[in-house]
Amino acid sequence: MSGANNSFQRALCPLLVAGQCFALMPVSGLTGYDASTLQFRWLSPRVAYTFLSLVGIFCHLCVCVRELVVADHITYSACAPPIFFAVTFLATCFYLRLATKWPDLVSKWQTVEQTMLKDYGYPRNFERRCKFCAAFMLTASTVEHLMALYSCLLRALPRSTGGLDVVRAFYTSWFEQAFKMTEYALWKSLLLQLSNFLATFTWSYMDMYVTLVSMALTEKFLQFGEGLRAVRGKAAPLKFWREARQLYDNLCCLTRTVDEHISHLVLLCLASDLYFICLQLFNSLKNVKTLYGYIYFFYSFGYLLFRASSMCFCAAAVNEVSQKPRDVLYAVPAGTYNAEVERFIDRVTTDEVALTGFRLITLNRRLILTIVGSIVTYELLLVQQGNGQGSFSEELEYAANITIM
Amino acid sequence: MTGGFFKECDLAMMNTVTLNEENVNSFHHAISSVIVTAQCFGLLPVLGVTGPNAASLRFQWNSFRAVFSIFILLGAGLNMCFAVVLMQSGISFEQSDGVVFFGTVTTTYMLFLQLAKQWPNLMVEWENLELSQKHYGYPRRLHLKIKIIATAVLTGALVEHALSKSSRITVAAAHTDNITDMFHHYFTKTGTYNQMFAVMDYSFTTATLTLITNFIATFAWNFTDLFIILVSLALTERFHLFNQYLVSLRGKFLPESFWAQRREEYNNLSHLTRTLDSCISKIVLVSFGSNLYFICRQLLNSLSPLDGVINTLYFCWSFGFVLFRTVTLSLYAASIYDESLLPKRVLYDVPPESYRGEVSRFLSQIVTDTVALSGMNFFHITRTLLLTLAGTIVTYEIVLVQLNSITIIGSNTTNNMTRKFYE
Repeated sequence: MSGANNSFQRALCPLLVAGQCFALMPVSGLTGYDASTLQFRWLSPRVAYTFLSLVGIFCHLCVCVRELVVADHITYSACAPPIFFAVTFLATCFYLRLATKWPDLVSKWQTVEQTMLKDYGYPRNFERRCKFCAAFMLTASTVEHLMALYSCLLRALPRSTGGLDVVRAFYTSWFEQAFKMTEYALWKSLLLQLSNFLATFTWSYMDMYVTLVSMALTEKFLQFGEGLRAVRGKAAPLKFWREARQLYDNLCCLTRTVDEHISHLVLLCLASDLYFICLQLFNSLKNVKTLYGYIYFFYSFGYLLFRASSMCFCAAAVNEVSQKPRDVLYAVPAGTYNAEVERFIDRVTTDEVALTGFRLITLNRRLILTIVGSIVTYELLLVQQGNGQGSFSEELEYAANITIM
Repeated sequence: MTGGFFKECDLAMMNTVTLNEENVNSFHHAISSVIVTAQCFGLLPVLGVTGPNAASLRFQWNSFRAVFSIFILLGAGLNMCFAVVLMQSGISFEQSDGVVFFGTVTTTYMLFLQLAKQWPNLMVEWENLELSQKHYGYPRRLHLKIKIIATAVLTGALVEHALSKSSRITVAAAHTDNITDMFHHYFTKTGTYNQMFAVMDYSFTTATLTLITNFIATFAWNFTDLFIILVSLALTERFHLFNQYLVSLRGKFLPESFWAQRREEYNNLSHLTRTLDSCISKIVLVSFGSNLYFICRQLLNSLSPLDGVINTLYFCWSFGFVLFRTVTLSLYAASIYDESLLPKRVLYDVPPESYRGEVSRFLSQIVTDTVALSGMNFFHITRTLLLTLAGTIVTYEIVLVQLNSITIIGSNTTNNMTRKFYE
């Protein structure tokens, strides 16, 4: 079927498959065309891989927390590594839980798609956009991780005696905290590096995932809106309005279902973005010593900002596009105004259709403004704190390298 | 009063419309003089502004006005880059003034170019609305009001610019002996044009260029607010005409077809607001953002003591003027929202025999729809926003004051460095 590649399941397939390489969303049958191919089984290699990843991240978390506990004083930047690993641990757990419900969600989505297929078809170019997003995220995360490795290497080189000892120096300087607790061994460091890489990837994956799911929802509302706009100001039969209202109801139900499944992910995403943006802004106020440090800092901060803002704007767009039918409904001519149109208007104006963060906050544009205001406020407060405490450049660099990886 | 209004515009008839007493108050004619002034500075490069009706408006990329606009845009962008280069020596609140000012100006030129593309369509829709609601007439003395407000704001801006130059010149004169040295000192050291002369050498041509660029940039910065005020005023006047007519029929018994027509007219007005909003919401956002920044900045500057009559006068005038502009802008834009809610009062008073389908529909539309300008849908401009803005400014001021006291204790900078940068 032409255009079937733009269906929800097919379009999101590249992103989800990429995630599976990093132990996220262990569902099988992602590449199928139909929701019936999706299956989740507890006893599968993918789930085992996820559990291994969880164990690895948990080890990192323990090491960081121990380091924090035995330190003299707790600073804002020193909290960053434990928070980073805690966030990624929670994210992997959430994805595992989401994987158990994924086949159900996709089949509900597919039902709505089928009802819209005859009149509206599939969204145009959606698959291309998803592919581009997945490729972009993979590339950008890899580049970031490599840059972190390189900066760690630069730090390790003076401490090594040359030759293969560079490897030992590299790992002991990167996982300093871990190798205080146990003895150095190559297999341990490789495992630690693998779980570190998985954690880094998970951290950026969250944003992209929420962005793409919101985009998919927005596309469906936009398709619906386009069909409605074609009859603006014209007379349309009762049957048309009844079908339009029912379709709108279905789309609202779909949004609510999606929200139930991913709202905790959305909240986690927002909170972690907020924290890390504040941290990065705080770091920017200290002098960065080398040119490479500059490049690394601006790249990682820019990438973080890009991810966070694209997630916020795409998620807020769901609320925006759900209000678009208003314009058409207000313009229905007096002769054709009937009970169905009235009911439709009531639905559009009184029901709030949006993604939420664990039902605590509604994602719309007003929220973005609030978040920006909060970031500025927290920044100013942090700067005052920083002025009072003096500089911690060495510790910050280490913290920055750990958390930004 | 009878329902003889146009559903579609008759192009042939439009072309024979001539300028007469009646439609000198139409929006297209009333705002033409202001747009022509702006076009001298490269803003809103639309052709056919002084034409007989909106159909004569068009935008072309290869027209002289558009090219001029792009040229100035590039100049402002270049200035912004210079200012960013200057900031490399260390990010501080004072240095960021230049970046913010020229950044705002560059963005403003880009947004007005984008608006110029949409302007013909917007004006055609506005004119269609005016023609379809011709039975209300045109707003009284709109062109006069627009001219008065434009003159007031631009004069205030000119006074501010002049005061800024004279205060700097007096500072420069205090430091040097002869005229040429004074100018040299003025351009390179008094903190206004730092960014240019950090990158280029001082010479007569570069100095003149800098002066001209600054003058144009200041105009653009002020024009943004003026433009939003004038557009809001015109739209409010249209709502006002509609409301005046409704109020005159308060409590009377009228047929349902009458209410159907009134609802459709209201819907056209709200649709026009939505179209206008989609065209200028970015400009509104940039305007509010830059005003917020500069108010905070000025309040911070007020903490350091000022020497000399000219300096004090300049500071008071410029701070007062920015505040005046922001408040005026908020009040005029919020009046659209307030006017759009007024039909409610008449509708609540409709006698029960008339309260059927159409009145109920009209009322629910007014109650549920927010008809207002917004800043890219982040916020709607209402009177509440003004209060929120004030609260935000106070909060940030308190924090900045604390910050400032920490940094000033540890440095010996003089007052001259904490002067307002962008003039």
